[in-house]
Amino acid sequence: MNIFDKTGKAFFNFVRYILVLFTLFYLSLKVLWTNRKLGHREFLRQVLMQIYFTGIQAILPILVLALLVGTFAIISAMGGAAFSGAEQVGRVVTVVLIRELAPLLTGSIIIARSITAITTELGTMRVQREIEALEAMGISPIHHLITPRLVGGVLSFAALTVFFGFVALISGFLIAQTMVPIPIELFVHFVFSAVQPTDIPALGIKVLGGGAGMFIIACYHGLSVRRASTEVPVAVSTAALNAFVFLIALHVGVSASMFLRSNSFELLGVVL
Amino acid sequence: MRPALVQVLDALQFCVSDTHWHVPPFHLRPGEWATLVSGDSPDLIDPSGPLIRTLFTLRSPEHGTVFLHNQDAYALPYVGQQRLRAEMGFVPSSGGLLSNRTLRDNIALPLSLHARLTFKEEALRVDEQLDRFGLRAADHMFPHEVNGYTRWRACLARALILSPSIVMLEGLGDWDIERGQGLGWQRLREYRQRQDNAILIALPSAHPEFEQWFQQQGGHIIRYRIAAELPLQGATHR
Repeated sequence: MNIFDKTGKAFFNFVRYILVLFTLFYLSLKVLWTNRKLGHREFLRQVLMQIYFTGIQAILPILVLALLVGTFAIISAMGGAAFSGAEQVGRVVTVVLIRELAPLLTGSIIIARSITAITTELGTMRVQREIEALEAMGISPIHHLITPRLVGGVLSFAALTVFFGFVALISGFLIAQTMVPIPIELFVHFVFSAVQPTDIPALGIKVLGGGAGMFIIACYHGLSVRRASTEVPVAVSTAALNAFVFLIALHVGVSASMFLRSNSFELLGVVL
Repeated sequence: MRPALVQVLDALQFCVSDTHWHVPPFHLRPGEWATLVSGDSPDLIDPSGPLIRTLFTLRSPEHGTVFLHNQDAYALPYVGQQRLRAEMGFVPSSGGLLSNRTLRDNIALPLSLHARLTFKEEALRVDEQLDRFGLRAADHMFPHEVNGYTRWRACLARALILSPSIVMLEGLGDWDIERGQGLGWQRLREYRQRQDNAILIALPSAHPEFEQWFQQQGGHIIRYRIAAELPLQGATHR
């Protein structure tokens, strides 16, 4: 097999992988309609359990990380050569912490905790033929296993990102007070004035799109386990890695498109 | 004449991993029970697995037609098949209990999804079922914490909780068969007699003692063949 064959095969495998993920995402939404006559209590229970595992149990690590990152960001902003007063602090806090770091670091914590856990759980269920048992009971595995994890996971991701941003802001403000006393009203004013109209949808795409993508990747790799329990750790590491690459790629894509919308620059003689 | 709950219209033939299953046409009416036994002595591990899965709409056959509740089971869309399965009970050889749920929650699962009951009604039904199968003392335990016979009873209790019209049991081991007079079997027999339901058991290999006992209980024996190559006589190509 020559290099072109290998490249072509890898490309088509990648396209197939993306299509399968989109199909799984579509099916996980479609079952909400096709299985609407099934009891909702069990579905709600699964969603709440996912919120508990992904959201509630991750509060402490997110709190610690947000405190550290908030402190670090403010110290960096104040110590930087470009520092030019409290306005700069507000801008740094908004741009770096809320728009970029909050979804990225929260997503990383979720990958380490929930994406690996979901892949392991589904992979083990697959090996033990529990998924077949669900099908035998007339229960769609997508409706019972994937959709609740997707809904609960995305809701938890959104809530944790807001929580991260809030804690980082508070810690940033408190640290800033020790260096340059700023009235809280002024700090809040600088933070909100630094928010661009495009920041909210950009954050929304990062959180909702990123969350949906990560949880679908986890479910896909969990369900792709076929025969042996030795496949489970391979699926877990692949899911974690792919979810992380996806999260970074989404952030780069969204940030780049925002940059292109607000700035024009010349690339290879073409004004973009 | 009562309508057949299970009917294999044509000789059912299907192939898995180069091995062909050949099942003669048969039907199963309410109040009847039958055992599918291999007529050969196949050098295969668990040949009854693919067969019972095909009859339970979990594996599509290449040839032949399976009618369940007077419907061509494989002509139905996925949601229709899902509904059909909810009306039947399946006891896989592996037990198929969900390992992250207690026995009680496992038994309650079909009820909470397919029956519109209040919490109280659901708890009552589950309690009744736990008592019927002698599982009350183990209701808070997880499947890996109990022995195989208790797991089998829990799986049977789960399969029967929605009062399905057809119950299919996959590849019982010798250990289960020897307990033919045990509590699980007793409940299965009562269930068939009380509610006029059909029960189908698939066995991986011939078991003369069980077959004799089964025929004494009024059950039918249906023999299927397994071969590397089989002529597709009388089969409808799908």
